[in-house]
Amino acid sequence: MPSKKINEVKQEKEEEFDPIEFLKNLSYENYVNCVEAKELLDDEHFWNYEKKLSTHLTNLYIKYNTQFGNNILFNKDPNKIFGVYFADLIYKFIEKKYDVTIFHDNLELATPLFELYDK
Amino acid sequence: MTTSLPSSNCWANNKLLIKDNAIKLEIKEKPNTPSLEFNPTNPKIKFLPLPPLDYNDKLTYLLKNLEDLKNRKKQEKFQKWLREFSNNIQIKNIIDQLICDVKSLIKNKEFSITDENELKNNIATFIYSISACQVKK
Repeated sequence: MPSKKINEVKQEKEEEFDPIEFLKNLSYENYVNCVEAKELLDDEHFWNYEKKLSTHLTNLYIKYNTQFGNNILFNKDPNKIFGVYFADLIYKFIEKKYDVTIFHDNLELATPLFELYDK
Repeated sequence: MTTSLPSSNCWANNKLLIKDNAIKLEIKEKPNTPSLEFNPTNPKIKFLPLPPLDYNDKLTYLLKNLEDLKNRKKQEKFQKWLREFSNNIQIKNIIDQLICDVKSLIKNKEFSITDENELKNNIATFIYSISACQVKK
């Protein structure tokens, strides 16, 4: 019977679907074109920057402020509190390298991608 | 009995003579300037037609020049600040070193920079903005 055959084929297809494999086959543009996925990637990039670099940049600013601060240099920040702004300024010039493996490790995050590409 | 004779010096006679040669007397005459009052009946005055003024173009030109001048002054002030010294080191060298440290830190942490020149300008501007208020003119 044809309806039975169709159902069998559908079931086979569903069984065959490997979400991780599907995600691995997506191109960089596929990820970026999905608004929700891009937001997650942006957040991940930001937290990565915060974790690895931001504190070091703030400390570097504090070091220079302490060493060279006088009445013509760093004189509007005697308490050395603008280090955070300094790190934020540099963040704008950091190239965004998105780590798409976050979707492979946590498939729940990839739901918008499955929805977008009808899986 | 002794008699005192009248002294001949100025102190005894309560006289102090000072010559004042510093005073000069000057007489200035006002130059005879011709009257500049406008008199349209004067036959020597000729009325010439003015070319039509394009106020928009002239105003734009003026404002643009003013803006250029303002920017040039800002730039000069910034350059002057860069040549100042802090702890016997020129500010320009301090900022160059800071930028160099930032770049190497970014590289060490496996990040990369999108636009190095722009980053350099932004860092220098940021430091200037939190420093520049007391630069001597």
